[in-house]
Amino acid sequence: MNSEERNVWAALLSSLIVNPYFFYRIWIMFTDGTNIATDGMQLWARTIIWALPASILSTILLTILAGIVMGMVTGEKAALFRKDERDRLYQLWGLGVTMAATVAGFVSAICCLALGLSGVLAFTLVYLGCAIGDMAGNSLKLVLYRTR
Amino acid sequence: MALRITNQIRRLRFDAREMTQADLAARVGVTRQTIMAIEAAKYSPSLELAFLIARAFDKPLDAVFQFET
Repeated sequence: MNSEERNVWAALLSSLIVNPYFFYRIWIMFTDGTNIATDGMQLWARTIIWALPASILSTILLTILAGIVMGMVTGEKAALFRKDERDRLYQLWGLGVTMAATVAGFVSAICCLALGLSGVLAFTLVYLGCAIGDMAGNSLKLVLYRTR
Repeated sequence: MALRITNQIRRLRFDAREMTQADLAARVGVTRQTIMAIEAAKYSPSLELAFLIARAFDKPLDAVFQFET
């Protein structure tokens, strides 16, 4: 396993930890009716604004932790950010999947608004598209690393 | 028609006093895992990397990589 693959594992694990928590918070907002309240959009944004720093922080911590663990297990001194043409190619393919899912989320949000559904639901679909896209892109990269 | 790029890297490493994958990777500036993937014909390198690998063994490109149909 090279350093880039290890970083992808860390990013995927981070997504699997952070995203369910925020989707749980959004789920609560939908069940208690916050989504249809007049300040629902603001409350939604105040919750989700923490997803970005939480995701960045957990990814950094997990990357460092994975680096330490891998170094101890394999004894290999892999540079944290060493990257070659194969990594860049897989990163590009992963980005394609991420973009496709993100665009799907955005289009779903537009359809949602066109149907007269709440703005909170539309923004949630955008966030869902980004989250799924991120995880799908990272999963594809791991499949490529493992099978090719 | 199935196209496939094969290579002689394993044999050439053996001939070069059992050069390790890590040594070759360091010489051409990629990770050991990429050399492993190229050697197993799971990944086709860029033309630039292919020339660098050939140069590392001091061989012409077609002595390292072959194109099979």
